[in-house]
Amino acid sequence: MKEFNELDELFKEGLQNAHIAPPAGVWGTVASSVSTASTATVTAAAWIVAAKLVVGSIVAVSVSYFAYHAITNNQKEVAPKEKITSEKIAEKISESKSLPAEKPKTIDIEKPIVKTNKPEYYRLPIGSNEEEIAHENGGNLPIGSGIIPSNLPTTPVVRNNQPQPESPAVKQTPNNPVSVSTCTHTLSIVATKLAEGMYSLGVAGANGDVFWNFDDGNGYAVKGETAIFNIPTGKSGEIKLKALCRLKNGCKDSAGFILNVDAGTPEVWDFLTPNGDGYNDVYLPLFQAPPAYFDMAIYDANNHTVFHSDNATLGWNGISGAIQCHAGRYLMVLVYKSNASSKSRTIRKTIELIR
Amino acid sequence: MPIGKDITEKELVNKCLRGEPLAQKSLYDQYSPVMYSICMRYAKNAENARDLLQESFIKVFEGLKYFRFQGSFEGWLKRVAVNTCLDFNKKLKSEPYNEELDLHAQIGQQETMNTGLQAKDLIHLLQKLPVGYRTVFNLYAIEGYSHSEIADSLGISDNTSKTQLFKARKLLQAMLAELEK
Repeated sequence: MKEFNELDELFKEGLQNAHIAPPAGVWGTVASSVSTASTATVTAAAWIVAAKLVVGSIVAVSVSYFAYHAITNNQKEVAPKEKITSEKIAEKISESKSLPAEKPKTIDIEKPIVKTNKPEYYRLPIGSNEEEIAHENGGNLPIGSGIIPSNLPTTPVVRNNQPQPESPAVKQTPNNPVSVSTCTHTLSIVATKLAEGMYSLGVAGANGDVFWNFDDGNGYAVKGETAIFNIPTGKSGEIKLKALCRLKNGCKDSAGFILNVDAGTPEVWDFLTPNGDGYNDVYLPLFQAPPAYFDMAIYDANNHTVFHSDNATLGWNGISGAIQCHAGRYLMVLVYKSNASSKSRTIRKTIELIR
Repeated sequence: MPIGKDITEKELVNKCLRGEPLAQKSLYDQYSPVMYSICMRYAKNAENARDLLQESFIKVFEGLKYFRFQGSFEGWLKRVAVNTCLDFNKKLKSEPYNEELDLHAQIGQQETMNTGLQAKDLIHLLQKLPVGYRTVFNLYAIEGYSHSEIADSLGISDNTSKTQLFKARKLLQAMLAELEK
């Protein structure tokens, strides 16, 4: 009967790096799912573009229609009310006959001032300075919630009263007033752990473009109602993920989510080959993020410490002091805390130094 | 043009990100055996393992654009597979964690296999364990997780994790002893 540790070793050695050919047909399903996802994304994007074009066309036609009527009405109101009578016509004809031919005079009639009631367009920058704008506007982006009315731009940009189609500007018109009272907080973040260090993010309550800030110094650089967030290597502690949504009614809403980064369980190997080939030259457990505490010691068969490190980036290269250790088995004892609030954990592993 | 074997991991990932089908197939060919072995370890049978492999790769391709080459790519793939398997096993409510096993009846099929256990043989033994035993044994003995981490991951207590491991080992011991007869 095998002892428990022998049993564990048997399965670990036999299965840890095992390769088994998968059944045929799996790739076909995966490939179709991947291509379907791509197609769906493209199709969705195409629909969005098409919808924007249709809405844009409708708005343009509407604006032209109202502008035309405004011009017509104003011309009717401002045009000179000179009454042309038959006597005046006869008088003009007689004057022309009595005078030598000359260049016909043009009568200057003052052009009417046409008021088209065109809307004013404000440019609200998006991207890295979005947050600054939010703060300047008197709002803030606290983790959890935040409603920023966007009808109070600090630096409105008005370009000849003409719309700026390239800008995702918020339009403010008498017919489409942006009111603070209409802004309500509806946004919330939904995070799902897909794998170690990998999260799927989504928002609930969004009704417009969503921008993500991954706390990486790039601001709201990622756009989309869903996003996948990978914890960057080397990042630890709290990561404040934020979502900012521009709502259709002109408001902006924000939501936050704090991710407490954990170094996780390290990957440890059972050998090192310090021959300078770039592979396994240094023995160092691999964490997902810097651990809150790290202490690794290597012992030889006589229980003498041949290496010690309290730096998670400093591993053993097979040398003790200035002496090259001989090939053979050593014991690695690693004590670590994956985050500041976790318990300390210990991993003991026999490792083989191969020369 | 087929993807050559000398292509680096990063180039392969970048090609996949550009949606090149050959690169995606190449990545699948390269890593599916190791991921399938993980799925086989956690799954009850080959059918489930096949589904888990499929789901794992879909997750991989969805999340590939966020892999930043700052860690082991294979390690990342393995973690995706393990987590997919754990999620799947959590949903298996029909098979409770304390299920008893009709050991004798099942080992009867394995009597010809008595020496030189290969990976597939070991997997067959694991697949005969109840899902709870199998999951805890995999996480502890093969992945190297501690009981507290297993408890956190599976939503069970440390003691349950220890008990599951003990029972898993006892069953495996008995199965191996039967094989050695």
